[in-house]
Amino acid sequence: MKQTNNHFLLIGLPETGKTSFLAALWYMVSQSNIEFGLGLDHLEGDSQYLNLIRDAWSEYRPVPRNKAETEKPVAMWLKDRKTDSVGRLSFPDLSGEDFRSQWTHRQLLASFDKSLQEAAGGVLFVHPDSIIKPIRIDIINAAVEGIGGDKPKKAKIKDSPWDSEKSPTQVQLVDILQFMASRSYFQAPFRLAVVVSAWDRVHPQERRPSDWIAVELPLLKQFLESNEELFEVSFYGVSAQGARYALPHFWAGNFNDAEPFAKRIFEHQDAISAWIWGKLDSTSQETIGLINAGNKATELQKKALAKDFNGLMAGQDFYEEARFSEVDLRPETESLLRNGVLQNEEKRLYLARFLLEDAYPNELSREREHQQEASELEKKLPPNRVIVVGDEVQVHNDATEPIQWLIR
Amino acid sequence: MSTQPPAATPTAPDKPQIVADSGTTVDLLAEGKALEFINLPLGKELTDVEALELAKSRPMQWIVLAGPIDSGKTTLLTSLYELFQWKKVKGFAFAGSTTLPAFEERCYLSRRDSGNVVPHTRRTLYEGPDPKYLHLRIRSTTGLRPFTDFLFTDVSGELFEHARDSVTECKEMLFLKRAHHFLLFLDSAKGVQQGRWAMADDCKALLRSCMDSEMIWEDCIVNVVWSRFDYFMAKEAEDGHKLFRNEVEKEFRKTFARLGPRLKFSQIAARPLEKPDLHMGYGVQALLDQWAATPLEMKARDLFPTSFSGLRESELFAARHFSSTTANEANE
Repeated sequence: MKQTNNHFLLIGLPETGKTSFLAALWYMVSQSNIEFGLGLDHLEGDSQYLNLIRDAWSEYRPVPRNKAETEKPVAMWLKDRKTDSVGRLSFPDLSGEDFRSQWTHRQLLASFDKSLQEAAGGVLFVHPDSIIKPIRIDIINAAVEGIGGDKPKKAKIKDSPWDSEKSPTQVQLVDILQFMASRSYFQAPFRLAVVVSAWDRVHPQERRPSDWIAVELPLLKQFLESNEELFEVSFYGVSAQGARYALPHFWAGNFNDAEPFAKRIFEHQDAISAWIWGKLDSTSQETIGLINAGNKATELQKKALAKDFNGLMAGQDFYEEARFSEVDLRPETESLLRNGVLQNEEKRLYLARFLLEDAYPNELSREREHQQEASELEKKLPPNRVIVVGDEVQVHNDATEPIQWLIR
Repeated sequence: MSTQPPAATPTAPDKPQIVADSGTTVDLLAEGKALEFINLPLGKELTDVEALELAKSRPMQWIVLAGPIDSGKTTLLTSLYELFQWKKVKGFAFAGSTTLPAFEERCYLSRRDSGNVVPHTRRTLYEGPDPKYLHLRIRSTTGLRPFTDFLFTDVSGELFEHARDSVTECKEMLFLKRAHHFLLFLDSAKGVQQGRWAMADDCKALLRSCMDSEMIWEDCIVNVVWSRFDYFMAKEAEDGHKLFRNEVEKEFRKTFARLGPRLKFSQIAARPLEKPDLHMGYGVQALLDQWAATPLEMKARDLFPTSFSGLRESELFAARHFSSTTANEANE
């Protein structure tokens, strides 16, 4: 066995797909009957968290986010099945918020610094949906005027203090990389696999991930190109989920043709409707009244109503046995209740949605957002659901590709 | 986990210090155990001493932005930075900055997220005769792809108003001696109003004061910049504007004939609200090309001339550095 003792890190701001990637990776490297590029040599630490996120991934549920303060550091020793090279991929007890606090609070967890000392490379995650761009007011105004809008009137300047959390993503990432390169122990070239998560949502998918970075995060791309002696970079587009899930959340589409549902809530003659009516904010009550009267609500109103309903469903007080005593529950709902899902923050929303659908069997649509997309995904075998693209990629459903490049 | 704010002073990167829950800062290595946080450099504008420290590590182009209050000095810096953010610079790529948070803070009020509908740059406050600096590192995208580091002054126009009226005050501005480029801002917004001749005379007086006090280095390029040039372009048809500019430039050439070809004139509209079709950063690329093309002939020790013998922190730093440089050279 060629043990390179290479140590690699996962790096990224909050909600950039690190945990989903890890879940898919854990699934793939622990498979025996299907061989991906890397296999698990051994694991350092406890596999409980990895199993938890893998289960969520397998069940098409959002993976629980890394809770830095409760998780112990875990590291996978991964072996390249072709070359026998071994690399150590560690995910220190560092959440995306910790990476962000490097920028916002100018602080770094000492444990990350220690991991960094041992690291020969890392995977840097960016997510198309969570990018903050440096949008200038003059550009917006010019665009508005360009489509016939009015020139903005002279307005009093809001001299609000700088909010560092609103700084562009590309600036925050450059700052993280600059800091890494400035450490006395930093050894160049540091291998960096830049992963664009949720690649299934990038259009057109024929785009090269490096081109996507050049357009969406040009400052980061320039920085990496200018500092090629410090960072050896390879770009990847990865969809660890494979597609969007059909989640139990309410969405605007649930309130199209929702007059019967709105009528029951508006009249609130039964215990559940009365409870919901009392919990909705006044704007949502107005929207319910509007739909009940046969009018169409705007997208904005429907979205706000959906948000309010999602808040109710997430609350610990949503279920009360007496309130639902008259409802004919389906077996799945009863099973979830028996299995203590009410106490499980990650799954509670699924149960709440089932309960509502049982309580309003003829009034509430069971349609979920992204249902079609999710159905297509569920038809695929788990090993085939991941999408991986990039100039160096050989197998386009193998989540281990970026790690293979690091170990190579 | 500690939510303590970081210490006010950036920590030297090779001596990590840690903030414990108590808020006390302890030495990581001395304690021999990993506590929670390492303080990172704040990334704010650099002091004179910090800028000199940075200049010890690699050659710098020192760019002094001089001019009255609200003449567009900081807006020029933010637009240069924004041009890199949107990859609108030809021939150069962004390569880093030790003052990213400082740039971001200055850009904030011209961004949508600030909640404003009209872009704005916060006025730089007067904080005494020592300047603050912003750092930018770029790399050519052609040829041998050399790096160029810039240190831009970001000081209040008030400081230059003091210097304009007093050679003694001007001599206090030691940073002027380090400048490879001295940019003197003439505000075009005032150039289309009554009182424009006084504005031009004031700027001329500032340059004269800097020259008479011998604070401008003999190879320094003096660039008279018509800032907010969109004001002229929007009103070009009106009588007298072009004539005004020609007369002002003629007067500068005559008064400062000793500068010869080192006296230049430029036009910029960093944020052309009066003529949006000019686009952000009009004229900024030309300035950057000029700066990057300037050979760095100034030796490191020229940053610390022996005549700097005061008691300001930067002067003491300079004296220490200069004496060690001289001693090393003598030993060689």
